[in-house]
Amino acid sequence: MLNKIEDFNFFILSVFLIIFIVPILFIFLNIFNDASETWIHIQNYLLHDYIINSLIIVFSVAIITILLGTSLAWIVSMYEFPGVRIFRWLLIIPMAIPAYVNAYIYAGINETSGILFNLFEYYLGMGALIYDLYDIRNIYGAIVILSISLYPYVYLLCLPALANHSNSIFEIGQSLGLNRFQRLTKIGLPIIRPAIIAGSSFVIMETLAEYATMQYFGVSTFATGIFRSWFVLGDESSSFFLSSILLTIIFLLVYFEQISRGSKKYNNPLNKVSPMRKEKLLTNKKYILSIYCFIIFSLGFMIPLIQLLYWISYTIQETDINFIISLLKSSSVIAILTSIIVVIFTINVAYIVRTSSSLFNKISSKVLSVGYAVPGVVLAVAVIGPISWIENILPEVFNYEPKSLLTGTFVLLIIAYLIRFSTISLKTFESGLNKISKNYDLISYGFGLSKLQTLYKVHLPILLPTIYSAMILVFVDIVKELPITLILRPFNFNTLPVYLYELAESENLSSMGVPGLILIIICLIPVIILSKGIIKNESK
Amino acid sequence: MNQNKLQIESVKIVLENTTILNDINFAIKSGEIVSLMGSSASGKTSLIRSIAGYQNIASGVIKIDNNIVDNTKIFIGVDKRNTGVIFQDLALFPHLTVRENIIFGLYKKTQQDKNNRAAQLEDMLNISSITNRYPHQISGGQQQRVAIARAIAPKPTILLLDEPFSALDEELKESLMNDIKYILKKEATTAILITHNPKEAFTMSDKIAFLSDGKICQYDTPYNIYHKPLSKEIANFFGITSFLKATIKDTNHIETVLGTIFGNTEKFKKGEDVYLLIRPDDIIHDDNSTESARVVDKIFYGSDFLYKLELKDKQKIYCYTPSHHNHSINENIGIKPVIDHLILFNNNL
Amino acid sequence: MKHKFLNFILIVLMVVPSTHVYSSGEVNVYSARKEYLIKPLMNLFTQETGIKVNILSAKSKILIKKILDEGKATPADLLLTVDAGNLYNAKSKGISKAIESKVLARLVPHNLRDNENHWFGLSIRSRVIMYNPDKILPSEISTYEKLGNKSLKGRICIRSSGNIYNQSLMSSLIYHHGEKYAEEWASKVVKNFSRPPKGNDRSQMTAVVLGKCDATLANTYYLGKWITSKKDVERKYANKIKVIFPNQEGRGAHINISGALVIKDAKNTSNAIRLIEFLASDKAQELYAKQNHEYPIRKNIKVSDVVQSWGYPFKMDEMNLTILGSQNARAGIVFDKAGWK
Repeated sequence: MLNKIEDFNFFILSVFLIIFIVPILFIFLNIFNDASETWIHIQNYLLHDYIINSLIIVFSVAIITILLGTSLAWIVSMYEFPGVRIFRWLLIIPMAIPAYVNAYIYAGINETSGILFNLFEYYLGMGALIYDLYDIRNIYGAIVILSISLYPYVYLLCLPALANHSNSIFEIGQSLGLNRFQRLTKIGLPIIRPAIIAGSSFVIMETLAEYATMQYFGVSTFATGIFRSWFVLGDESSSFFLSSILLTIIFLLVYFEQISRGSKKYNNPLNKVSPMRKEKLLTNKKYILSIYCFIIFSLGFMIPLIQLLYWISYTIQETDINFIISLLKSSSVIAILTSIIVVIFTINVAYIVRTSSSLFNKISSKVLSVGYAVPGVVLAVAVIGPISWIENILPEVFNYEPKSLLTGTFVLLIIAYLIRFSTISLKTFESGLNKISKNYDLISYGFGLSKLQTLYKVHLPILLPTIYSAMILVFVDIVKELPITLILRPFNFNTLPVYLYELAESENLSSMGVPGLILIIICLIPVIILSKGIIKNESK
Repeated sequence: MNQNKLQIESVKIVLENTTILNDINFAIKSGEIVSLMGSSASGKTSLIRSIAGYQNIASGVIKIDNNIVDNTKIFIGVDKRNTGVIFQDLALFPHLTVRENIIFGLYKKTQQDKNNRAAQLEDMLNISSITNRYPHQISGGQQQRVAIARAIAPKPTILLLDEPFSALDEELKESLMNDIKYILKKEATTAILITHNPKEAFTMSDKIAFLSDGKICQYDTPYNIYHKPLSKEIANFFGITSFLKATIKDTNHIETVLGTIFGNTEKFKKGEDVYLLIRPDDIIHDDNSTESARVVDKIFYGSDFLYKLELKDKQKIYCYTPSHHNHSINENIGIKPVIDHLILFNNNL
Repeated sequence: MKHKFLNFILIVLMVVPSTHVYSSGEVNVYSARKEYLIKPLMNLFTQETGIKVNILSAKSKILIKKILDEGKATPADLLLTVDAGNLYNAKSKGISKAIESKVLARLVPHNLRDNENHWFGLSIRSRVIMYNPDKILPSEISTYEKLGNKSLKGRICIRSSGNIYNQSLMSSLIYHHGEKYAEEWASKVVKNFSRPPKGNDRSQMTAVVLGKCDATLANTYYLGKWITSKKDVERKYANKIKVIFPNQEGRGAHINISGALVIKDAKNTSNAIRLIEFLASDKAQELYAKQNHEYPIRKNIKVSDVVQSWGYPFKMDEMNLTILGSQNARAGIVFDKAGWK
């Protein structure tokens, strides 16, 4: 009986491993094909741009987000200033706006339908000036947009890192003679180093994967190059080549991040932590901090929100609300369905690894959790490749009329979502299961329950909140996903992000008001839950 | 000449609009170890934080080494006062090794000097073997020692310890207290120690300051605090107490249910009703005594029994007796008060 | 046991959604026109014929690539796209097939369809000159060729050469004047730019209104969007800009089409043909063109009032659009040589 389950587990894991690995392998195997003419063209004219642009953007965004995220986390943790309590969680909120939405909004702000343009035009008659003042659609604009969209990830990780150590550590530093700046550099920064590294790795990954923003701003990066060579130049192998390069860089990044995170030494050795005693700022300097927080929050959330509302104000009547609702339904249904599948799948995997930590299981779970690192564009082409090949080979082998089996169905889409979003669910369950002492298992077996029954009677009830969190995280990630959906969607299927993309393409920015707002509201849900959770945990 | 290392004059400390401490006055001589005691929220921590400089005072003066560090007009910041601090949560730098933690405050010295100083302290505190480990790799007791070494390394003018032993178990406490006292004396470090454990205070300190009601109620040697407490609260704090009803007979005698007891009654008037402080060691078991009491409870302490006794008039007192005198509950045993000097309270104290 | 059951559900959940599109009453459309634009028409078609229309919209090049990748197994029956260049491109990649339809032969003018009946135009737009009447006289810009005149130095803005509308216009110029002339013309026009190409047609129109340049090239429907805009400022701009149909004394204004072709490996060929025939029919024509402020393919169909407002009818260049597509590659090279970015 036990053996059967082990075998079954092995079977299931293997199936999923195949689903995960085959697309990635397909990409890398392509390296062995001869370089096509298009590739030579790309190598000569475009590759240089892809590399340079990607490097510049990644480097700049990483630095800016580290500066922003760390400085904000530092000041809201260490100082009392007007509004600090509310800014602490407000500064996380910009995470709810996907980068491409910010890109569309900020591009529209100084155009004829934008708030900036209309403010200047209405009150000063100087619309023309603003229109021409700057054009955000270039590499610098992309850097700014990505920075304000992604800094919350660094911020979010630094907060608990600081809260984990009460400010005893800084007071000790004070008593040992360190001034404010020295306390930041010699104590503060070192202890949040792992958070900074984790946060910035994530930011870099997201930046490399970003497609819609770069495409809209006309910036050539790997992501746009991969898309362009496949769909515009019509050359898959070039697309695979570029994907291989990009994936290699990303996997290296993931590897380095894992190593540097290794040491547990950054945890507080004593479990009890006295609450942070914040330094009250008495001079007018405290207002500078408030203003800083306010500016960042405005850039990241308030201004985009206001622009959306402005667009809504004059498009509300002509908005086909039924259409928007149908988009919402499509987005939600596929997201819920997939998140259920993902949760069932990852809880299985996490559990398999927990109960029998064979080498195969351990490696499997590592492989399965790298999905998130693969950019959406790469994943989409990686899935199309093998499937098209299969669908055209099979008819010849089995002698039937060629027809699409999986192409044009939801299956491809769900598989791609599964590959990409299992990571977050897997990690959530891994950490959730880790918190449940193995003693529970032993006691349960002692009562005669099988591994399976233990899962259902003991673990699942405890894990319920974790299950909800995982589902919510995956749900929102899918709802706001763009490149994979764009490329792999079946007939009659449209989502909010794809609709926004189409509106941007047809330069119909003002119609983005309603769908954009709805998308942000949906994305806000987990952000608010997450931020409340973090704030609550800290006050324990 | 034994200068006052720390001088606190008429200090008032206010926290969130509440006056925590009002008119604190005391001084510590160089090299002294003083324990600060009192019930929770009696202001011990606020006082220490004000001495360190994390808080400022509402009025009064704090002087360290005869220099004003806070008189509400002048305020020297924490980083300039050279006070050493040890908090309850230790706050070792997790990203640094034991050695690096210890030399953290020595940044003005040469590498050679830093290492020498650290090695010296590690040796004294028996942590030389873990010098390259990280805080999460060592035990609670070892972490405690590292925290001490780190605080002492820069030879602080005053060392402030906030309940340094509260997290440790008994055995560790013993050895650690001894080692710390040794090192403090060796380094001639002036120290203030917050503790709620009388035993710790007795072992470690030269003087004990008892805080209550926003002021210092008694500032005296451990012996005097135990044997001549100035209030019932202090008496209760430092040991098991019973209060026996008594009446002043004359300037040298009081009348109690256990008979007439000799002792100084200067402060009180003839015929006044008072309470006599009785410690368990003030009552001895004497089979030959005329007075007896009934055993109502007993606790075994190894070498002693602590008997709770009921007197003729139903008052209860405690008595330590060597444990080979094993009496059962409800037995009557002979007792005799052996009181060196009278500690008398009327109802006010 | 529950374990197995759960995983079984998993597999079922994944297979079931692959509901298939092979019932007899369907047609699968890959459309470069946005879904929300064509859906009303498709619904009308379904009402009339009972044939269900499944739509997947994406950019033209993407759809073409997708069809190529999917090969014989493609679910696509019909490709709806914009610009003769794209239609020609699709045909040259071998994804279309010839259609025998007497209805279409009757409804679609000869110059608006492929000479081998692979694709059919379904609406017309014109690339015209839009200008600021306070700054420039219509006579100065009455032909495309005049855009190269020295007197217009620093007064013209046009979008980038990478855009297919410009490429098609260039193709027509190559056809009418030859490549050498086209290249010289392009160089002269580039010298007349008030600024390097930046932004789309609407950006150019805005630049004209704001006084950054005096005239530009733009597709007619953009003005329609401005006129019907909910934004005050855009309606205001619509009043400030004027349209001139170039070459009215000569060959006529350059036109282009949106159109459809049937996929070679289509599984619902007859339904696809029926759909195209429907879109070419009188009823659909009026709606289809009106939707996007375009012109119908036959002169007898009524155009919308908005479209009328800047002039209709006008003389259209009657060149065969098949030729337009074939010149597209040369167009790119001419632009490069002329330095038109």
